[in-house]
Amino acid sequence: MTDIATSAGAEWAQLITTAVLGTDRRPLPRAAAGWETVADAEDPATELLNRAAAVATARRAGVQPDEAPLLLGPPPADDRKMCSADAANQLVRLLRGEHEVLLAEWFARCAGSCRRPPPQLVPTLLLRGRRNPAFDIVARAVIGPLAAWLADAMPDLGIKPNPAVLPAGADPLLAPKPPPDSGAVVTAIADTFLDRTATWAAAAQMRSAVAALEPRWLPALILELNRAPFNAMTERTRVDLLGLAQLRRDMIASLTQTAGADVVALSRG
Amino acid sequence: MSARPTPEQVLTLAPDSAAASAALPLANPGAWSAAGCDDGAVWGQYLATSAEPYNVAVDLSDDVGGPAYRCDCPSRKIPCKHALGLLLLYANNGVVPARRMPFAAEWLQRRAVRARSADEQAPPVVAAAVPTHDGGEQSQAGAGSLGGRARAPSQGAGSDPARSKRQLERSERMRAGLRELDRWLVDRVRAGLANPELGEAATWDRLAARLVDAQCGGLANRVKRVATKVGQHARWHEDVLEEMALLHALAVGAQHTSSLPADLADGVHVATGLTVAKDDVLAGVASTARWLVVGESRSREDRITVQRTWLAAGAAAGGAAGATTWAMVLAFGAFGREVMSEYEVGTAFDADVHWYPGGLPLRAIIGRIHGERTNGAAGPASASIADALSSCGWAVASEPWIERYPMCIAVVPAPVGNGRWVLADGTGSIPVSPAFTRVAELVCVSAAEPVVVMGEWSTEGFLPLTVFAGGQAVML
Repeated sequence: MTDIATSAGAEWAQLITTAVLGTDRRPLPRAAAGWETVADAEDPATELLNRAAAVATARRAGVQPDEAPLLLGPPPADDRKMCSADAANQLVRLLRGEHEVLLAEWFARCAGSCRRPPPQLVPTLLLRGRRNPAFDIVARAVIGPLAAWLADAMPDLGIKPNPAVLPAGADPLLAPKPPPDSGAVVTAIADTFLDRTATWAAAAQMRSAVAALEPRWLPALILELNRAPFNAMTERTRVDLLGLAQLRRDMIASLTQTAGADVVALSRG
Repeated sequence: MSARPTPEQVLTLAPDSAAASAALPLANPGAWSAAGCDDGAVWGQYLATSAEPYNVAVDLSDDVGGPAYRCDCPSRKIPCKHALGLLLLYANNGVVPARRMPFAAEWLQRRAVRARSADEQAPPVVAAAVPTHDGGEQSQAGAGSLGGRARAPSQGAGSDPARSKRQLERSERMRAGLRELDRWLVDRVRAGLANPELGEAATWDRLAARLVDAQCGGLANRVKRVATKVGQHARWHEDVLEEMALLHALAVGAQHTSSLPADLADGVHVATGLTVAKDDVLAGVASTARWLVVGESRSREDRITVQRTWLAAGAAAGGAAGATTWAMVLAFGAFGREVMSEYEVGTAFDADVHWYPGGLPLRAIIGRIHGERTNGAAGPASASIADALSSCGWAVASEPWIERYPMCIAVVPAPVGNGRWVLADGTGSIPVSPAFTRVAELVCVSAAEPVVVMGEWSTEGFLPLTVFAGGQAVML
């Protein structure tokens, strides 16, 4: 500690002691050399505030870095590339609760393309997996060695170093299997809008059907949904299904890009 | 008609900050009956505590240089809080298009007739400058900015006696408020900080309310923030004495601005809450540079969300940050509504930046933007911790009351036990602010490698806002 820092500390200690007790009860000691004010105030309380303003400013302006502590060791190497920025944005939307039915497929496709999620999403994924073993298993598969490293580096997060074990009888989190005839499913969905039976009550079933649809049928479904006649009863369902189909189409595109296309997407940013 | 205003624009129409904060709770659909709007006006009936509702209307057709207001309430302020509340509701899409209510239709028609006859007699500018009073109706072409200003008033203000009288009254009120603040501070030091009175919220709230009345809004918010530090930890007396001493310096300084250097006087004015008209700032000399949007932070003040957007210019990624120039753009949102970011973090553009007056160029307005916005996620230049702290030191020395200062540093997060983290580089380390909740995200992005982190340094510690890694700007 430098001389000036020591004398500022001593001066500040004097001021604090007097201020806590009050100048009515404790006389204000004279300023140490170098800390005198330009003009003495008549009132000791004003004098104290004048001097405190100067010392406080000096202390704030003179903050020095602390000593550097021991650094963490690096995580084990992971040579997979990060998924594209578009795919990362889609994961953020899914995690926020938008069309959550697509989460399993996001993980499956991310693992299939040998990519990893962006590191800033890793804590959210791991925290979500703490109470959901099926989610934890698939999430850790794409996160890779960073998960165990983070659990070790930040023990207060309460993350276990190893993936959870699925309890007997629990369903694993798997992407849904496409139906035998996706074209028929598209026609069936379009029909429910024509005969106005696509109310909100019927939507849950249709959502899982859209999530399972064979990808090449998605453009046809989007076309049908855009062409569906307006009806106040079914509008909410239509918008929801359209959003789901479009998000799924974009997600598949952004997770199956070739390396070249990926670079373009990143620089577009 | 003019485009629908934003809540922020509406708040700038307020004659003073008290009217603005009084208007916020009125922008609630439940307080209005038959509120409606069309292309040129907004109207509604405010369900007041008295038996009769107030008929409120605002003329938005901007042919006479600004909105005009009418309201049945007895307030002398123009616009009154009811008109402001109605406009805020309108700005938040809370008013549906409808047919004009009879009182509104009649008033608007009278205005239209008057505007036409004024057109024939005199140019409209003159008509706009003279407030008219007839019956219980108030109507005035609204001046777009708040009354007081810290620097040369815009042209024409001097020729308006009513306006200069208002300014004089305001500065008198502010002086009285500042004297009271200083008396209060001195009394507390006389009685001692250990006095239990200091721990009571009412002690501080009364002072803050007095400062709001005295139109020292900036100081009132500051006093409220100091109040939250009382009893926060074992050594809270030190924090509070520091803040009280700085408040004392501001209060004394603001009463003697004529004997201060011009830059310092301007800085004191802005810190005490004297508002600077946007036009006056834009009239200043601009600095044209390539600006990179590096961070964004939000805080709440008195039911208004304040969003700070930090821009950096001067040095490209990888270069030395000694020459980094900073600018901070503020945006406000009412009642906890999300403020829309005008400038996306990670983008860059060439723009004219106009700083507010003061010795420390930080708060600014973006003037003209030249050319396209491009991706600037490669990141800004970073400094070492020691250099960044030294820049902060110079900033504190020129304006000791600043509460946060931007830093861009290349660091590694490291734990120091008890769940606390610091950011470290070759020159040392700085503590991470306890308010920072996304340590895990920062640790994962860094993965024990140095990353460029932009954040705000304050007495609490460093609050990271953005981390630049792998060609991407990640907001924390």
